[in-house]
Amino acid sequence: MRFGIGWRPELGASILANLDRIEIIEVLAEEHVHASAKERRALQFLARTVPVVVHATSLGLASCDPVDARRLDAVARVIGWIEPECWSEHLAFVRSRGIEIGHLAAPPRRQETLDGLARNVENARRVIGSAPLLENVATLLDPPMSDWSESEWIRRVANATRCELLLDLHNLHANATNFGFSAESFLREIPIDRVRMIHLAGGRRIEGDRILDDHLHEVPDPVFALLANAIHENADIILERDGNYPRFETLLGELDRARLAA
Amino acid sequence: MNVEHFLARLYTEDDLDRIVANASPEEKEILAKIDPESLKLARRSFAKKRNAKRARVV
Repeated sequence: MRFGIGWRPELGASILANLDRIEIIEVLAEEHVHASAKERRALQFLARTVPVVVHATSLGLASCDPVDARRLDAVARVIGWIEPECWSEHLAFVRSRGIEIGHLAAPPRRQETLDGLARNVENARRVIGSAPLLENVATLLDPPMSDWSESEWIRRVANATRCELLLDLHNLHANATNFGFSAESFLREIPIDRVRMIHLAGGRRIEGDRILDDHLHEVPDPVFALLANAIHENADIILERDGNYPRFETLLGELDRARLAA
Repeated sequence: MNVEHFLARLYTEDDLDRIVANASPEEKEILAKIDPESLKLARRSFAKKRNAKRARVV
């Protein structure tokens, strides 16, 4: 079990200065598709210094539509030169027939989507050379035309794709709050032994007492409480922070708290 | 019908009222299962993300 953080340029110097307290780093694939030679060398050096994993956001694997070949090639190239331990993508769709949604949208949880996901994962496995860890997503809209609960969806995804899972505990906390289910029951219902990585993040309350997963706030107490139930000995824990950065010591403190919770 | 495509339109097109007014029977079935307040919040959240991406590209 290792504890680490998502690489962001704004945090780069602080991350490098604190590698004695950071055991793994997650790099966003799409941020480096057009990396300069210098940037590539820096990330390759980083990957030789500390374990690195790559996180993708643009593929839209959980879709009836085939994954975009150019985007898949771009992510494959980044993974090719970073040579991470593993890579991950979301259980989301991000576009449909020329419409770019701009972010991760939860798909209808049903057989048609599962079949599309399985095809897309196989394609990605062939092009990239390894299968992604698949991550549960936060959503403000309960996807219509769904036949399964989210935990049932995750169970079927794990079976159909044979992929390991990236469990985002803040996404789980947000969905449990927004749609009134028990996050603890969810953790009992999914194949927890397939969880290889865990994301910690924070969000904020918005209208209707819903939670928006914005990665701009501290990890809330309920997420730390879930961590103890979600831990599998092979799982690594990554803290995601995308802006509104506090002092770096605060982020290191969140990692320390995760260590204690685990 | 392609549910994802209809959801993508609901999330991104400016004139939501026009989509609702012109919805086919299958699309009306989908709309009936959507909480309007949640859709409004999701549209706002996705628009913010798209704008942030455009700002980064510029």
